[in-house]
Amino acid sequence: MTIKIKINDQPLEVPEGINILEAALGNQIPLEHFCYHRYLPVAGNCRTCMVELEGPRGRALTIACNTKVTEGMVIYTNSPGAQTAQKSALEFLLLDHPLDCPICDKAGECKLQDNYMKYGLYDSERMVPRYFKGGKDLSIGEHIILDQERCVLCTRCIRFVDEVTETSELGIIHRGHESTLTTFPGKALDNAYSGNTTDICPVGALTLKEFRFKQRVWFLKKTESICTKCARGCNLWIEQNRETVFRLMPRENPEINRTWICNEGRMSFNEINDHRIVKSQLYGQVDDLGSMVEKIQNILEGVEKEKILGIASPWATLEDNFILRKLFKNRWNLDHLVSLLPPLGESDSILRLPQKYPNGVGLQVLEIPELSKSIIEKLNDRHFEVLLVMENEFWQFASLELQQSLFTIKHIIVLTTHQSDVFQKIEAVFPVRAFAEKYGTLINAMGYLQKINPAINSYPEIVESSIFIARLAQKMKIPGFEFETPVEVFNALSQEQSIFPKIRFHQIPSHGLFIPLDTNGVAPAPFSGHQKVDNVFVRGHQFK
Amino acid sequence: MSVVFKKEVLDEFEIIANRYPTRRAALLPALWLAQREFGYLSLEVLDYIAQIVKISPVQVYEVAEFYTLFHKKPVGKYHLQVCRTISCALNGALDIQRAIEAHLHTKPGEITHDKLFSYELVECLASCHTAPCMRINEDYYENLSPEKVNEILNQLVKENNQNAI
Ligand code: SF4
Ligand code: SF4
Ligand code: FES
Ligand code: FES
Repeated sequence: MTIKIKINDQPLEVPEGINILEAALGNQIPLEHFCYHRYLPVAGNCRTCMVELEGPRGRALTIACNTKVTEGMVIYTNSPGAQTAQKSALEFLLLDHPLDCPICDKAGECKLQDNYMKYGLYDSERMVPRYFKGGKDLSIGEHIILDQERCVLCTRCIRFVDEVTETSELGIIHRGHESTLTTFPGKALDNAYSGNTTDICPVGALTLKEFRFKQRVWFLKKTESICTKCARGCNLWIEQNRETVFRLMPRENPEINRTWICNEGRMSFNEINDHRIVKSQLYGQVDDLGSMVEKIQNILEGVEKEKILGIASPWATLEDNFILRKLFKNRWNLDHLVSLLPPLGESDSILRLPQKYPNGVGLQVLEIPELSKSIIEKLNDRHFEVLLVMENEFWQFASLELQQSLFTIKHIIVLTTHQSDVFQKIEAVFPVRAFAEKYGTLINAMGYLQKINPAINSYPEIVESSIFIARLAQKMKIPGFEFETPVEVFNALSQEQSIFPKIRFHQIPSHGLFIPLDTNGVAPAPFSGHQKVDNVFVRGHQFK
Repeated sequence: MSVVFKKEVLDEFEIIANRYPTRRAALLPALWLAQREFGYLSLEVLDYIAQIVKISPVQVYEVAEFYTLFHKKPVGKYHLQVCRTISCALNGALDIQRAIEAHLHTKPGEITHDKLFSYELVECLASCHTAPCMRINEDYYENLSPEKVNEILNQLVKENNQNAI
């Protein structure tokens, strides 16, 4: 149901039930706001989103975020009355705000700065002495620093810990101009989602320890990606400068993660930068790539095709697993391609799922089974002569027994991204690109096909697993592996797998493509009832 | 340490809590009980109240800090709340303050060494028609003058000494 309204004399049709603020922003009509956040209950406390409504007794001021649109409503966001109200509310918010911008991590993406430049631009007319309150760099949790005088008391962070995590660690004490945001003395803001409070804080009052003083935000370049730390596959921005990733930020997706991510996902940016391998290694020693490839080519061509065991990966993309599978199907024995999955981890009813990998469903779609009894028996009989492992650090989680039998295989070839001690036991280790460095697709637990994009290109000399295997297959003169990029692999894959609509890589929308799959029923967005947002109208509009 | 209500007080609280549709609504009465029992609301007390009202400690902290009538530091046996709002101010509240400060040698927000008196300034006590006025514990003292203040304070000291015997 849509209804007709007018904003600034412009006739509009908007969905019934949304508020004036969403109606305005959704139609590219700018309107100042601080405390409103689409996925939190409305608090209406900052009073900056003032608009004028035409009524029977003339125009009246009201806040846009807490007023639903009704049929025939006549709204002004830019009338002199509305503008004065917006400006004055802002002036109050800024009154006791410190001039910290040069040393504040929020500068550049701060709503106070942005709104002042857009709606303020008045001269300061302070007549009372400045009131100083609170502490400036209070560590209130493992990841969070609070600066009390920067807080504009919008209560977004409080509503987040009350409504989303339901842990209620934050509150406001005292009254009036003395009001101060705080935790209970001696208790910390430590929940699995605490990092989100630093995103939704419109100012620099809550900042992330891991990002403090690391980088000015305007230097960061953003790339759309997906978190790989669990099967939810939350949507992310990878933010980097000069090939170093400084932070991962949630990217709005109403169905999958709204504007939240868990701390584990957020902190995984370190893995992108640290302990990467870039050179091929022979029993743990760096060796020449060309000669090593030749060597394993000889091994693979020399061995009986029944004696090759392949390990696919729930961390690798569909493309990587698809190519590995194709090689087993076309040349070796497909029954000898299996996956190894880590044990289930922590989960909750917000976002985190127990499967700590992003593409388990992708393996199901490609029909790559888990390691089976019969394979284990063959392993124990020392049946296999070659083990080909793709992006699966099984040495981190597999049972010692299994590890032992795997390590007894004569020739072990591993494609991986990060350094490990076990490389000494491995004949050939080849570096491949990690998720922040490549194109690819993943299918999350709810059945969304989502794409990752390269954010950094620190190691242009190395390639994706899929391309590495494709090139190897080409060298071995196996037809059907003429691929140069994972994008080409996807385009071939979507033609071949009947489960996908026949689309091309660039046609996958940035918020994912739902594929009706039999995925053991992980329901979409299991947010509890009071957090339900019925009408997500303005897709793609970034709220912070 | 453990700050807990005595059994009778806990029962009293449960009766009050049962009057409200939600348990958190009983927070203010719970804080009153706590102040009556423990004299003032220390952080331990607030934490305990959070447990029995079943809300987060910081939410109790918010409410306790919001209301000036809740004491967050120890107060004397006699707690003086002196009105400083307009009716009282026009009728000489400042003289009352001076008289108290001279008599007790304390400033607003302080407690005397013998812990007998504490003293603070408050806004309108809703007794403007008898300004200037103050409250000592639960009782109002009205139409004050500096002489009357001295009389009252001496009387309280006497009363305290008698009780001690
Ligand atoms: S800390 Fe930030 S999010 Fe929380 S109330 Fe203050 S300004 Fe708002
Ligand atoms: S919930 Fe899962 S996908 Fe989302 S940010 Fe956390 S680890 Fe990543
Ligand atoms: S955004 Fe509407 S009152 Fe704050
Ligand atoms: S002004 Fe003192 S009681 Fe009202």
